[in-house]
Amino acid sequence: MDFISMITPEALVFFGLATLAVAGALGVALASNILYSGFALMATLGGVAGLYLFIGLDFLGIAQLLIYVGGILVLILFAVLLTNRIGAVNVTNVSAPRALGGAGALGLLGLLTHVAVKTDWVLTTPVSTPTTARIGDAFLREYLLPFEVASIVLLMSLVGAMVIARRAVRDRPLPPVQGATAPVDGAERLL
Amino acid sequence: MNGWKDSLGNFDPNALMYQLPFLLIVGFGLLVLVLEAFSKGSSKRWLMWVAVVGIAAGFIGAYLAWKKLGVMVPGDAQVVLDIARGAAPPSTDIPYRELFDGMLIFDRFGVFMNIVFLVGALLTVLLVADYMKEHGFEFGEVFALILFATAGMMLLAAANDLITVFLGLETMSLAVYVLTGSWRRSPKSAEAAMKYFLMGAFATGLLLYGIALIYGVTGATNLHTIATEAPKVGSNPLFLIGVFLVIVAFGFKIAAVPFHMWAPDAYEGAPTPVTAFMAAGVKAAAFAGLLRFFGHALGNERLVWGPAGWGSLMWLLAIVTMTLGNLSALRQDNIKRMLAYSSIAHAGYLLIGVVAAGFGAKTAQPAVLFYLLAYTFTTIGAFGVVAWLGNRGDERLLVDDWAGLGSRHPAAAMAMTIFMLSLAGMPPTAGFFGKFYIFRAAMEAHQQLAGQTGMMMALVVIAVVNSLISVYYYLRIVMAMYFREPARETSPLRSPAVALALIGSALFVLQMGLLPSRYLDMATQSLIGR
Amino acid sequence: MTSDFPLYLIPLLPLIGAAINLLFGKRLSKDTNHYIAITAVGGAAVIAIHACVSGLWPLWKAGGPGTPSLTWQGWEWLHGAAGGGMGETAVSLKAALVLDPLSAVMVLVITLIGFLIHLYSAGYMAEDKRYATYFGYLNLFTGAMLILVLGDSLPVMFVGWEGVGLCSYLLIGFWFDVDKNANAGRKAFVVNRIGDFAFLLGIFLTFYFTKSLSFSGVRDGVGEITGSRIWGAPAQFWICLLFFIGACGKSAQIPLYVWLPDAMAGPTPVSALIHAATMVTAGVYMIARLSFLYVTAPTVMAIVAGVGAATALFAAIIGFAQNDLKKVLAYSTVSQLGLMFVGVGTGNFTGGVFHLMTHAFFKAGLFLGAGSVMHALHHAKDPGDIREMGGLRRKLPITHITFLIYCIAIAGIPPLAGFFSKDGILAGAFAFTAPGVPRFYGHLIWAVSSLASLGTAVYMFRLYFLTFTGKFRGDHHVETHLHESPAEMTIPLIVLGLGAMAVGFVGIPAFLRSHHEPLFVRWLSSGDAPVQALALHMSSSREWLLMAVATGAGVIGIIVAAALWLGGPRPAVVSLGNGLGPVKKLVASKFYIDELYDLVLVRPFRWLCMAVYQIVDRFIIETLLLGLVTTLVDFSGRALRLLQNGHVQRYMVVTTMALAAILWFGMRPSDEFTVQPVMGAQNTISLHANAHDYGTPNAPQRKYKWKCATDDPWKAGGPDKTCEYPNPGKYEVQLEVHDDLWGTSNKSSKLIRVGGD
Repeated sequence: MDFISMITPEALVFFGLATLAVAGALGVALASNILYSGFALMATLGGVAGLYLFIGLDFLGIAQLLIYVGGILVLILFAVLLTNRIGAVNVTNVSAPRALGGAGALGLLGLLTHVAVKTDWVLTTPVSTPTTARIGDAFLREYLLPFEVASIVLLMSLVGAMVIARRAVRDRPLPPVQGATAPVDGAERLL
Repeated sequence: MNGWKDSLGNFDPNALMYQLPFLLIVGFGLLVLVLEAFSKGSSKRWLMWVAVVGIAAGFIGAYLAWKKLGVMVPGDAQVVLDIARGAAPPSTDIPYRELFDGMLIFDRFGVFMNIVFLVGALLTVLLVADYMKEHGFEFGEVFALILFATAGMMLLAAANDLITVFLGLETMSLAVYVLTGSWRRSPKSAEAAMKYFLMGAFATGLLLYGIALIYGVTGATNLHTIATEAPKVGSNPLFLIGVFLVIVAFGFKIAAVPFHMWAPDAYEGAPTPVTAFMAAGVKAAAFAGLLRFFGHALGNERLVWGPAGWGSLMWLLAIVTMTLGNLSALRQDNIKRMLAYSSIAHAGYLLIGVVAAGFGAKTAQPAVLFYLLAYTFTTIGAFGVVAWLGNRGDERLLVDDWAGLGSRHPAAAMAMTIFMLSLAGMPPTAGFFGKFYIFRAAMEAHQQLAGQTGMMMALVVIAVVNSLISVYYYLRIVMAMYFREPARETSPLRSPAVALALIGSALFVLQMGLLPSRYLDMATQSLIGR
Repeated sequence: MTSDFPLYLIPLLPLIGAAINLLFGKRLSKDTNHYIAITAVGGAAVIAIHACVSGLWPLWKAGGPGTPSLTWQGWEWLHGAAGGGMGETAVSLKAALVLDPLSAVMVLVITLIGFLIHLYSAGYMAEDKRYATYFGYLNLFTGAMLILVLGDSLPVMFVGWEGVGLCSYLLIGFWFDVDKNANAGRKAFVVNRIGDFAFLLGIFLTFYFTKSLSFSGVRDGVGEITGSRIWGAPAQFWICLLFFIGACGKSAQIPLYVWLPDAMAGPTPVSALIHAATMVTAGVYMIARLSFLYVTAPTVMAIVAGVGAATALFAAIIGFAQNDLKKVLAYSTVSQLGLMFVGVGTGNFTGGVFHLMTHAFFKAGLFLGAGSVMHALHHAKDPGDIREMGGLRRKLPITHITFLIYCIAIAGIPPLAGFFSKDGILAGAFAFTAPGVPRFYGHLIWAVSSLASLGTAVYMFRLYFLTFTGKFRGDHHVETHLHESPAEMTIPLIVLGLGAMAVGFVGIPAFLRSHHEPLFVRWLSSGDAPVQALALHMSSSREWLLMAVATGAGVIGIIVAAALWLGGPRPAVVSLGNGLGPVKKLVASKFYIDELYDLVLVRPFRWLCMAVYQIVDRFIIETLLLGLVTTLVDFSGRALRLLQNGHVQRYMVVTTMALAAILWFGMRPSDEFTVQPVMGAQNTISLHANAHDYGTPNAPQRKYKWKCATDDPWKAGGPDKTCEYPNPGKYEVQLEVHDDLWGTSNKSSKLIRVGGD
């Protein structure tokens, strides 16, 4: 198979979206300004949403866009912008041996790529039927339990976030030392 | 056994009985949240009793589920007796019940694990209330978080599908991250939570990646479907990578070397009762998952061994974990850090049990269960004494701080001695039999291998040498308590709840050492169903 | 023949006493403390005597099949399945106790001597701050020791074994305000763990073969052990060797004896009870208990006897170099334990146990006597230094007389206890024969042991003469405070002295009693021979001769000691520079003889002793062996801490690299394969390549090539292969694995034997 014939419109779209996602992820990790990281995340999430749509997962793609790009990402950016002191925090915390870390990560990448390329993948053609009904059905049948448990996970995350983030008004002063009460004079004892 | 299987179409409300402990714990967790929100007083200590009642209800639920599972097979009593006497029943005879389209499986293994988690939660709740009050960071949600984490553990122990494995793991972990950082005033607590969360999130990523790869190759997330597909997909490298990634993710949760590095920092920084909860409950839950997926579903001599089987990897992890855990513990002066490394070493011993179970050693599953129960009592007890000793934001963590405890507080020193002896695996404590059963299971696996390889034997020898090394650092504390003059004044917590937890665990540790049969019987009846 | 008896009461009483004294002791008065402790042990002694006299004795008299024993069934302790591939056996182990003739001897020794030592402690420790704790530990020890000897199975024995180790550790370091003492305790514990490790491995191996852990079960399963081999040697060789290493740790034999001399850091009654009379003899007891196993392993028996004899001589030599009262006694204990091992090692199990019993009396007495002396000298700088003593016989008459009795007993002078037991061991060693062991070996052991007894007599009487005869050499201030000890200390001394004179008579050798087996031997070897007795095949003239040699050794030793040390040490060097006249010099010339003697004999000998002590004991064992181990452990601990420096980034890096390594190495194809004979087919083997994972029949990217023999061509095939061989012989099987994914191809080969044996 020669190289030219591999350049199909599908391939172009796929590689375009994949590049967007990967480049965005690199941006998130490497940008030194946290705001840039946030914007780079948008590219990643958008790219992934595009990939979902590309393989015919209509609901998942749209949900990804609505929830992650439209909701969570905006919240993250708001949080970054509203947290006034975050600029004072030194976000580039260089202490890891970069060469070693890079070698490990690259090794892992090489290994996974090698395996992915060499493996004979089972190919299926994507079906372009709407998936919404199937997803809804699955949520109320075989995935009922995960669906319900997910609500507990979310509730707990909320409570946890609140515990961690709320102002420390509930941190009361320490109780007095046992056995070391203030001297009591006679008058008070009478009272 | 399709007759037992339920789907939504013929959903049997009675089947919820099996899930009773889980439902009760979640229910009481919600109740605590609501009560917390509407309560007026400043002290939240009374919520502890709500949680205790919830856990007690959980115990009753577990008892009912245990009973109900016992009568599912006709003549079950005889079967159970035979298993206890050493007969090897075909695994289909072990009563079990699948629910929610195979998402969950209920068998006595799960119930036993539920009891372990409930014990852990109960002791933690008793310890944490007065500890928080003493150190000035009291808040009511902590009880809810502990209950939710326990529910997550229960889910993990009953998970029959990688999706539920993931959900259970996350429910548990998220709650514990928050608990770790709950001591707001302490920078160490915040640091610990951050590290634990970062590494934990990394592990979650690996787990999801692994699940995705396994799903990609086998087209299934159900453990049994995966197990039946596994021989067909063979050495598909993607499948192998998936399996290894799952092992690594579990390795994070059980703090196996080299994925343990978060553990000493997180254990040290977290509030001590939470550390106890992490060391006992989280580890036990992860081992329940490991046993179900690896020890049982993928457990078959050919699946386990071989250069790329999960067995050789876990074999290696077990050795490295035991050895490095113990060697690092030798030089710790901070008791919480020392116990953290000790807990790492114990994960190594437990991994031996998982490998042995993979080879089909009949005694391995009960051995791991027994060990987990013994370890839960012991380690929470030990951390409990640590928590008890500190006061007023001043935790007494250095070995020097423990000097002379034997003459000041003989009962506490004796309890700590019992826990240390148990951790070191010396008779007549629970820890001795825990190790004894694990080693015996490994020897059985060695026999199963019929001399093909001496690897299991080597594992036992290394483990015995390791437990010898460990004696040294456990005895350092005993020595400090009894052989040195008191250095500073101590004014430990005055709390009946903490005293109850400590005395209770010490008694159980002794009882499991003196009368282990009863608990081993129970563990032997608690085999994995399918 | 057995009957039931609530034996649990015997260890339970001391344990209850321990619990009371350890938990509430501080709130009670000192009187209450020792009443509780002494009553607990006394009660145990009464019950033990009752059990022996009215329970065990009639059973023994009645004879009949089986070992006479009293049992307490206990509760079911552990059960489960044993065995894997070949089928399973249900195993059930009871936490049961048994009182048979062997354990009866031990129980009586422990409770009676323990009772006396508790009594003595009430006087000796009267001034101590941690009085209650002391008695708590002592009771705890007694309970654990009783569990050790009464246990009906290896695990129960192990519980007691660990328990006494713990108590020993706690009591050695009892006066922990001196660092040295605490370290001595730790050393004892660590060295003992080496032995315990071997013991535990021995238990595992025994269980592996016999599927049983109770002594009777193991005895029934001995056939399973003797029929198997491990690494080319019979299984019983390894098992017995492991048990012996365990015994070496507890009973202080070469090379694990190092902890015992240091253990003298503990209070003196503790040395008497734990480190002389009871705990250290546990190893001898264990071997006697397992005698049925040891007789199947003559090589190990020879090793036991050899190590015992070497220890006996070695410790006797070191004993000369010591100037501390308790240190001399400690090395003497090591030496006597060596003799006991000579006894059990030469198949003379009853002889070993007999010496154990007599030794318990006189050595406990010696320690208590030493304690009494040190009690009197407590104003001295170092109360234990025998160079600073002398002439104590007038000030401490009771201590003096009893100490003399013990010394005569240990020197082996008839008719005191030590004579009979030591003579029995030496005679047994002389007659030792075993398959595969040369005839002269027994004679050699005998000669070494006799030399050791000679040495024992010399240094024990050196101790006696230096301490009790001559003039007091210490401080005048100390001399004015000399006094005899209180009654609670002297009464135990007297009782033990009577014991040291009397107990020997239960073991009068056969040929002195018109060839009736001694009572002690008949007692131990009744029934199904719970303790193997040695049948001596010797003419009585030879026995007389051996007895004369043994007695002669003792007498000569005493004479030598008297010549050198009677009335205080001979002034070895007379100062020549003090301006005395030539006449006086001449008068003093007899001292030249002394000097010469000193220069030629005494000094070199002392140097030799010191050299052995310094080089072997202090340097090789202490510094090199123990030091090396601790340094290694220490170093690795430090190195590991470097990695764990608190930076999450570094943790991430380590994790990533580990993950990459796991995936990389985990997925490499392997060229290993396994070989199994095919059942039912002659000269056929099946091969199975491990390279294909997860049992897939044909991994798509891997290609296998097999070669059944060196001359065969390569044949392509799957991961499984069957080879047939027309002729028996040796063949080389080869496998080549080619993997497309990795682009690798690996070869491996194995040598196999077909047919024949």
